[in-house]
Amino acid sequence: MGKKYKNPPVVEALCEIFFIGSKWDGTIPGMFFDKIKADYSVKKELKQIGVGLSISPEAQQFIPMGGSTRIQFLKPDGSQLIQIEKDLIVINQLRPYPRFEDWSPVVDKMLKLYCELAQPTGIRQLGIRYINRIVIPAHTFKMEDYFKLYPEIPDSLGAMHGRFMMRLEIPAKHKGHQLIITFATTQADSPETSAEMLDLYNVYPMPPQLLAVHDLDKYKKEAHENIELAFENSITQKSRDLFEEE
Amino acid sequence: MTTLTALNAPYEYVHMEEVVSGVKQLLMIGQSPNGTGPTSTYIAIGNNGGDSLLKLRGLGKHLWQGVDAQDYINKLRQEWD
Repeated sequence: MGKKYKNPPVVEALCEIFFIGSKWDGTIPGMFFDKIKADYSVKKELKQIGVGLSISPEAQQFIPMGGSTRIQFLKPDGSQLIQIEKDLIVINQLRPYPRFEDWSPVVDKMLKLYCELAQPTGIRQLGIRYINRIVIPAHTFKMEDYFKLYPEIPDSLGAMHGRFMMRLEIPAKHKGHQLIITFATTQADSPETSAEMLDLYNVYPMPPQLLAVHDLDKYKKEAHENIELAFENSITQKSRDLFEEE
Repeated sequence: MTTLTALNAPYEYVHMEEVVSGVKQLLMIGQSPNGTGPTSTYIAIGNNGGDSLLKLRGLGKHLWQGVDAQDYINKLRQEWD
């Protein structure tokens, strides 16, 4: 993210694209897999199962309802996965996280493939999300030492807090984008450490007119810049030292 | 929408309803509209760890130690009479 770190805290970066009007049937995931199986050879299926309840004076009945299915294609080392379902593609980059410049072409390639196969009529929304897990080498610490964004507790309430979660919508640098920050305590690795999740999520709802796929690159770069700015302005130099700036 | 007069409530119930729906919207961000869950695997794993019904497996098994299932059913049936 902007500055380069030897130990970046990113545990997951994702780009999600919501379409409209995809021509979808059961053969699309198979055709998609056929094109990418050299790199993404592991397949998984997530099925959403719905149940309806019908109540009448005579009887009560559970009715199984067909749910949506999402297919995941993973690299064997688990570092990257592609998820597809009707009107949605998600490209997830897990650890180790390369630079945005290295990861972004994968998004373009998968987007092109989805569009070739499912022929959507347009893009409804773009989302770029970076989930960071920041490990602090202490059980108790001052939030302001490591973060510029944190819950403030007045002295009259003890000026301390335990586990927390805050979710905020903040103005984004580039107009038209929505930036959502979730900052929360997460599971620590040991009793001597603490871990916080800094989840930066940029959503760009597309204008009503349908958008050509090649326009997406501009919004993707803007979204990444918004996230980069939010990240660097949410942490202090002490956090940067933990990530070892290069 | 229910009005304050109809509710005769001493607080701003209607405003509270709007706040809650705004927060709900905020929480829905990051979920697939098709109902297949979060697009993030990190969040999905966290959710499953917290909410999975499978975590209930084996809960309270000590309560049944030494109890024969058929004897228990027979006892319950006797209580019906």
